Amino acid sequence: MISKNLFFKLEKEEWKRKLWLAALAFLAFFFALPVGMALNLSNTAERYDEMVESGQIMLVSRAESLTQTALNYVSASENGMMIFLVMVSAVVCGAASFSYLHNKKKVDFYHSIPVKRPMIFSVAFLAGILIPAAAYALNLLVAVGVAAGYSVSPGEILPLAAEGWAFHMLYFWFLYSVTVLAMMMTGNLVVGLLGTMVFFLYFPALGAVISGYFSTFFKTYLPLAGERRIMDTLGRISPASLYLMVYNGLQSGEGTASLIVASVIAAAAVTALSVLLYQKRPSEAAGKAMAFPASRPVIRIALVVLLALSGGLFFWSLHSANGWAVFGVVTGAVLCHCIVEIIYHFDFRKLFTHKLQLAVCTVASLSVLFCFKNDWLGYDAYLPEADQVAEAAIDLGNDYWISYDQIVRDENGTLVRKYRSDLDYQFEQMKITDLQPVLEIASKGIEYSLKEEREDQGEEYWTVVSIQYTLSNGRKVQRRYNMPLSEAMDAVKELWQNAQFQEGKYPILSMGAEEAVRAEYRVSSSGTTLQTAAFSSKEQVEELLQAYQEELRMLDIETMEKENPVAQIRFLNEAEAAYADEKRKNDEIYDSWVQDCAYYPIYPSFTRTLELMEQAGIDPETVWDNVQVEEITIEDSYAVTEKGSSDLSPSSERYVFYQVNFRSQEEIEEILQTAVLGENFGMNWLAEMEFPEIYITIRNENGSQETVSAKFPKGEIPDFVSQALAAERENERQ
Amino acid sequence: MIEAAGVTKRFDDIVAVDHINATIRDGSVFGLIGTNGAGKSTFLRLASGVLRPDEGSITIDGETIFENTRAKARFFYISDEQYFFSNATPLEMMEYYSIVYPKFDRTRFHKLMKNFELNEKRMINTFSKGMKKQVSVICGVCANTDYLFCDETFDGLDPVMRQTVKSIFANDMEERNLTPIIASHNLRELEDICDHVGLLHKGGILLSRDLDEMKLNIHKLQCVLKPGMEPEKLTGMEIIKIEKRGSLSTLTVRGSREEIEERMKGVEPIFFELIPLSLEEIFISETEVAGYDIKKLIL
Repeated sequence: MISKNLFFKLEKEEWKRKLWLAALAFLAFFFALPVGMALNLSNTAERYDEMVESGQIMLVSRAESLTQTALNYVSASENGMMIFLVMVSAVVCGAASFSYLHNKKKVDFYHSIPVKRPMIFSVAFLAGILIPAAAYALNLLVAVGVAAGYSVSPGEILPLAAEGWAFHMLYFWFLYSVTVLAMMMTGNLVVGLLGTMVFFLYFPALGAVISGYFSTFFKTYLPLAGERRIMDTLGRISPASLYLMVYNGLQSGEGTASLIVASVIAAAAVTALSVLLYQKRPSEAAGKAMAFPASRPVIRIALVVLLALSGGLFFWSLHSANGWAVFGVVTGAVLCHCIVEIIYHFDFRKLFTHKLQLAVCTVASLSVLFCFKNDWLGYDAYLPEADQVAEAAIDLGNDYWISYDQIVRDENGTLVRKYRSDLDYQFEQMKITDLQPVLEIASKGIEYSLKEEREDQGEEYWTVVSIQYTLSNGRKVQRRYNMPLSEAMDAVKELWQNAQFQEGKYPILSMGAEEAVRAEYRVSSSGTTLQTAAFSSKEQVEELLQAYQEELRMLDIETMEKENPVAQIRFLNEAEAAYADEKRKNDEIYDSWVQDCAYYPIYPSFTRTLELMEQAGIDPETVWDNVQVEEITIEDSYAVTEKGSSDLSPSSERYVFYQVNFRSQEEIEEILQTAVLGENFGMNWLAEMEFPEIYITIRNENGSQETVSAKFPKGEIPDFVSQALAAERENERQ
Repeated sequence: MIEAAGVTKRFDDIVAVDHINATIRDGSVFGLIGTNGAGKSTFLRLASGVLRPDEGSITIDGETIFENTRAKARFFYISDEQYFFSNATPLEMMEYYSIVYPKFDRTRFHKLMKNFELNEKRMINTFSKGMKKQVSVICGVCANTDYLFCDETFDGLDPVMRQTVKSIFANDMEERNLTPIIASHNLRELEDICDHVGLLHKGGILLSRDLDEMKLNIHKLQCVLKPGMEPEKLTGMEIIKIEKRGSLSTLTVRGSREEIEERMKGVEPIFFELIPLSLEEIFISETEVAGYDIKKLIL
């Protein structure tokens, strides 16, 4: 009982001495919460009124919009400013609560009084948490009051506010306890703050350096997925990045429960460690750099290796030569070692107190550098055995027209475009179990990646192939190859007919008949639509979708080699149709999603699809029937070799462009019969087109002119065009 | 009783306190004397539980002090630069000390503050060095602990204040058996208050004795002997040191007054006189005997 009373009395005294901290915390949270809430609600109300005045259709009422703004502001996941505030206040409170450990006078005072050290720790630790917690809670209530002033029901936002408070206070506790741990391990405030920075940033920095080594030295490293995996793993070791990670996870709706549980355990563990260190901490550590001599080499080595590796990478990026990389490693190691030693000893003369450690760190860092540079571990040559792999996903990097973005409603009920990475989508959705073609492509990819020098041997379809293997043990391995697909065409053909590959590649194949509410058809090029149609009847759309899905599945490489698309079609779900309608209604016709996304090619061999459209009176073959083509210009070029001005550049090549115009109706018709519009052949990565560019000038009904571009398929330039071009070339040369 | 047995404390490569053995009896004033860096403050920090000994132990009535609140409640430690909370007033410090020292005498605190003409409500950081020392002494004596550890407490106090503090100590020793342990580098400051002294040098203790015992057993003898008689030939007493100036000899002699007088009468000198030694002189003599050139160590 006496002990309890003593604790509360000491806690009260601690609060008295931390009044400045309470005032500071209150001010910071006051501006962040009630003032911020008032500003946000005022902006929302103003914006809403402006939108109503401008005649926009609002999907939510003014009150709903204000409530949503208030909810976002107090919630755990929508107010980024709280992250900054929590991080800064955790460091300030941690440093303020335990900086007395760095002062001999104060240590003598606290450690001579008849109070046990765990109690002294608990009193200071608790005050450092309770003060900002109270300031946050109080200002949160005031912010709820402010929201009530805007007719937002407190009952509606209080639960979310409490949840937000609990979330941010959990990470405050974690960051604060890490700061306290840094204070505990050091004997000087500045060194303590540097230590806090090390705890916060070391592992993310290490992740960035490792990621840099992978992307710089490994030719088959897949930056996006690989970096994220490295950063995810190492990021979780830093309290600051874990906080951001969970915050982002909450924002995007990803599962974060396990990370939150891990954070609670980690915060409790760090707190327990701090209590333990407090009891072990020698009072004479006050004023020294490090309180525990045993921690010195650990931190020194960790920092020296990181800086040495960073130095090597930095100088390699400036000049890719072994000498410069070694210079970077050595310089980074020596500089870091010297700085750490100066901090440890507060003495410039102690620069090289641990020469052996410096030498070992430098040699270890150089070994890592050359391990990456010479790929001693065979990273680039990695090819798993088929029986080691459970499933795989592959992106051939050649169909850039496929859109993986989604149209979703945001918290205000507004339809917005949500970005989805093509690789993320395919790696998540594609589950190929017939691994032979994937391994064959990978094997060719490795062959090309490991080639020191490349000679042009007529390879075609150069692309970047990305592969993800899900190994039998659940581990995911990713690689990227810069290679010509012509060298693995048999495997590509096999893959192209693989249903698992198709399902993962084309989002349209996952669309259910009940989802599609509208089909939009078009023939267009260079931003000009020549033919368009929309199908809204449920039966029509379902039938079209079914036919198209079936024919897209049947599309093989041989067909793509022979044919080029003649038109495009897209199937919209309810949200996408509403989004397109809204944009068109608001005259936002240049919205990139409305203009170009989600369209798929229609090949001439998609007979069922074309037949269904024909039944509705649409035929791509009649695209030019209602278009007035005034002129066709064909542009070609030839190379001219010019003598150079010096011995260093004896000759150079430049291209001379020339044009031929065709205006006769017969010639125009003949050209149009053969020409393939730019947007159509752009959807076929196997399309082989002739070099000359075709510019078709058309006159619209309103009298304006537009130009669409096209090309001739390989070997299909009409004779009269070839002759006219040859004659013009001769003229130009003369 | 405070007992140090083989106490050793090292700071990295430096041995600040080296196997010290000492006993501090209750109800007496223990003076801890030594030059700067001798280990006085470290010894007091060890005794007050701030530092943990690397070797040996310090106990109060058999109880170890480090992390023992019962033992720590029996003393109040006034460091050489006592810490006061930032912007705190003496009143606020009293409030805090009242919590951690349950026997803190608030009435006496107010009385002493008034007697010392110190404003209880003024921020301590606006006080002079001497005034801060006075506040810390007042807090210390009002804590009503059995022991009071004072590290260079008299340094900075004016002579009047020094006497006042000494009389407060004397009063508390009389009334409640207070045991002050005072560390200082100034022998003259402690001479009239210490009952027992310990001399520290380079972390080790040179000697630890009762002052009275030392004073009663060592004397300065000034004499003029009969012609032909040399002081070195005097027998029957322990002569520590001999200085001669013409016919006048000055001897430092161990033994009681009566013994020395009787012996001197026996040799029938022309003149002799016994003069009491100052604490400083006693130390010089004693430590010279121990083989140290004390003049280099003490003021």
